[in-house]
Amino acid sequence: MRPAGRGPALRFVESGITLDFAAARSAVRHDSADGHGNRVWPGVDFCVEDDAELLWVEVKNWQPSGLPARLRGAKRRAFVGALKSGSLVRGLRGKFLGTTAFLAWTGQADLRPVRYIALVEPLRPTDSPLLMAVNDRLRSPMAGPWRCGITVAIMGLAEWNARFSDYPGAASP
Amino acid sequence: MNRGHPNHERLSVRDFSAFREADLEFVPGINAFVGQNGTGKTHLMQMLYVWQYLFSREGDPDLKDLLQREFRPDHLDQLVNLSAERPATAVVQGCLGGSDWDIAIAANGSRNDVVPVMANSVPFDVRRPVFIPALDMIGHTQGFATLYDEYRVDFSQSHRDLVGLLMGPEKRSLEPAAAEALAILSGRLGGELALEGERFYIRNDLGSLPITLTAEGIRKAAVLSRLIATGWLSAGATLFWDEPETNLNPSMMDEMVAALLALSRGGVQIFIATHSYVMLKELDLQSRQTDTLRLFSFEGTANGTRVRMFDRLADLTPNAILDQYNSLYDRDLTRATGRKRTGATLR
Repeated sequence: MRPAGRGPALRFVESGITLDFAAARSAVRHDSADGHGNRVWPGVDFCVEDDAELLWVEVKNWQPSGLPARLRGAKRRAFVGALKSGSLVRGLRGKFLGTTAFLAWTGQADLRPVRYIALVEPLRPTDSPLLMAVNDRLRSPMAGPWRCGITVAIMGLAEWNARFSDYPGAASP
Repeated sequence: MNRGHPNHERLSVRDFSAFREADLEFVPGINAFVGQNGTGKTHLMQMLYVWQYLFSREGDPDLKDLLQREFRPDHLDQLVNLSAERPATAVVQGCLGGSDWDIAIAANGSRNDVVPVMANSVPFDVRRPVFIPALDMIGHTQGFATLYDEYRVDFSQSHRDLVGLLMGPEKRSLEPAAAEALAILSGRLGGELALEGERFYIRNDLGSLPITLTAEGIRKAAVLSRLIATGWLSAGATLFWDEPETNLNPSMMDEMVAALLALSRGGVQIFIATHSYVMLKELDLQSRQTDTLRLFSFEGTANGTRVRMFDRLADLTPNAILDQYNSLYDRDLTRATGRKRTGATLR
């Protein structure tokens, strides 16, 4: 992890979504050489050191900029299908485990509470019942006698910006 | 779409029940009332039911008596909106099969002052309406009719009427749409629905089970099946169903909605009052372009219930059901992130 202290502008772009972690104690791309360097296992996109806890962020943009309009319906259906079938949940869970294992085996593990956030865009106002069901599925295998807390949530940019206003995000048009 | 049967076309209310002023235009297919408790959804359905019952001339009912038995107030002037400055008059105006009708209920110290006014001629082919209340009745048929007819009991007229309809004989043959709806529901009953004396049973290879021992969700399917089998839900009929989702497993919702849509395509005008997002979403997903579906949002305000009409679920606002899901989701995320939507951190 980067040394403690407010670093330079830490603005990252992933799948057309920009996140600004300048206000964090530190923030890295988990798989980059000047981050954690995880090229071994599937892992999360970003590891952020907040004041008292860690934020692990995985970004999923099922409608990246430049996607032709005629493909949007199919992409939306595929996204909803992935939510309902559990394949997205399995993928997210795998990335959490991959990140945990990589950090442990490379001596970089930091046993502070972790909030694992799946940032998904775009969402519809009517998606909340489905997202709650996904939240429940994400959490159940992650509950355990851990030394510190692990919490999980899936949300869109609107919720992210409302709750993490110190780390603003934006989607490319 | 005019299907040749008298349908409820519109309803206007002034100072009635939870309403100061509301105007509704109905479709011949499915009309869904959506809103919080206490916004007057059931009262509007009851008023439509009462008036259609009167129009059907079944048993030559008296309007005041029918209103008293259905709404069960201490005094009929309690149907006048409580916020309306006394003396006040509740006015309910409707149109059934092209015939306008009015009811005025005065709250001016003369209790039970009810004036029915019919402006046009009464259509002669108005069917007796069917009202399925939220409370299960198919498990309470034994002795109920006699009890209701001889004693003052705290059940609405529609409860008594439903029991009477359920006890009727089955038709020898059904119209195609009714047969289709019945077939959809039959698989869920787990057997054949049979009436012995005044009690219903589910009969299968394992024996004969009183319906009182079945799940309430099964009983809901049984009520609809019986009404179809006895011919009460055929072309030209009107069905009012209060909270069809009560005690119904969400897994049964798709069949229930499929049956309702089949009935509506066969010429049954349907009114439902619902709190269920699953039911609304099933209607949205299963309806075809040729179906007529209208959603009415009922919103409580300082000036009485406000009613708005929508032809698509996506446009429904306010959507009290989705609002509740959003509230749950908001609290879920607050707990998971340790941060409120305002950005404030939980301590």
